[in-house]
Amino acid sequence: MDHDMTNHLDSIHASERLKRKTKAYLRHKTFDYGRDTMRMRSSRIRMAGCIVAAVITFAGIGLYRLPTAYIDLDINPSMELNINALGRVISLNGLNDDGAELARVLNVSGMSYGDAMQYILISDPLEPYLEAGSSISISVTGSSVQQSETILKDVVCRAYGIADKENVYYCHADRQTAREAKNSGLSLARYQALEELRKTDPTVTPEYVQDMSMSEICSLIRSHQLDDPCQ
Amino acid sequence: MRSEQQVNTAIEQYADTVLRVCTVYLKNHTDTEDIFQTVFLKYASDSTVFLSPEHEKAWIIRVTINACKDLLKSVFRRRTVPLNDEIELYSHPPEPPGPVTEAVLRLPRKYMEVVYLHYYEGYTIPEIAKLLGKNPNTVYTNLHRAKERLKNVLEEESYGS
Repeated sequence: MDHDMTNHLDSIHASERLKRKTKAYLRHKTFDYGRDTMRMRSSRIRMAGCIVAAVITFAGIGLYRLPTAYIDLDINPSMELNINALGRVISLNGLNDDGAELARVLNVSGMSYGDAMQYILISDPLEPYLEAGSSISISVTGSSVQQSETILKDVVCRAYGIADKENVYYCHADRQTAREAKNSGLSLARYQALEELRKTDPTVTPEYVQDMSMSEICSLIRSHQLDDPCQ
Repeated sequence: MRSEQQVNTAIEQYADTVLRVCTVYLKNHTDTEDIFQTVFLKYASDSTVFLSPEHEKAWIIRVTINACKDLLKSVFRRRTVPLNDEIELYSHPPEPPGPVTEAVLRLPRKYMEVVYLHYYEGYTIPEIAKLLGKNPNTVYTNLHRAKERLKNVLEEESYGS
């Protein structure tokens, strides 16, 4: 076996052309072994440009998905819209069981917050909850006071078109208060109302007010002769 | 990165070895030039400090074998090469393979490679196991089976002729 294989394989020699082509290829790929600084620099600049483009793209995607304002809509069902810096809805989440069920069927992602609110308020799934005398509570929180106030004005006006003005409650607050509200499983307006109730009755729990309508809560507050926090 | 002088020296020293491994693995010389470039580019950019010329040669053979295997797995490999290009790989036409070499080249790859590394390159079974990243028992079994197959093939051919 040795002799036969040795004869054949020993006779195999690489041509000078193959070696020359390989050497030229390597000089090109290694930028002349690091000596071609101009070509190396322009290659690095192109690579840096690609990296910057990728970072900007991912940052843009990240910013689009970053909520800067939150609209809590409490009719009982209770829902929250997450809004990005461009005023677009990132997501609609339920804050109670009925709210979660509505959030599941109402697709408002990508809409402007105004169109989304309009869509939700006139939607068929919400209609049974908007009987005569129902109250709508709207609260807006966000990192930008200006954005929060702009949003609040817009959505309250849209709510006025659906419910009687005296039944529309609205407020805006900082994110800390909003987080406390979320941790207790309540919308912001409902949470603030709970805090007012707790001033005279510390035993009131989130569960107690969770399934009450806002007008019921406000009546309860008035019955305790407290200032109505909702107006 | 290694210097141009180091790389050119390696090309002169190991070009024949790389070409032989390609001949054995690729059989019809397609993409041999690509394998050459891949192997020596890796050599140029690798920082392994070789303890001896034997260590360096074993490294070259291992990288060439892996490059050939990657190519054989790739869907982008070319299936044919123009005749002129094939001729230009060699300094002069190689001796035609004898019956034993032809039988070896027809073996399944796992048998062919151990025969080549053992009988032509002179590596021991533990050295082959290290080169191929395999268990020495596997290498021993493959070599044994390769010899069995070659014996059967060559006996059949001699009865036939």
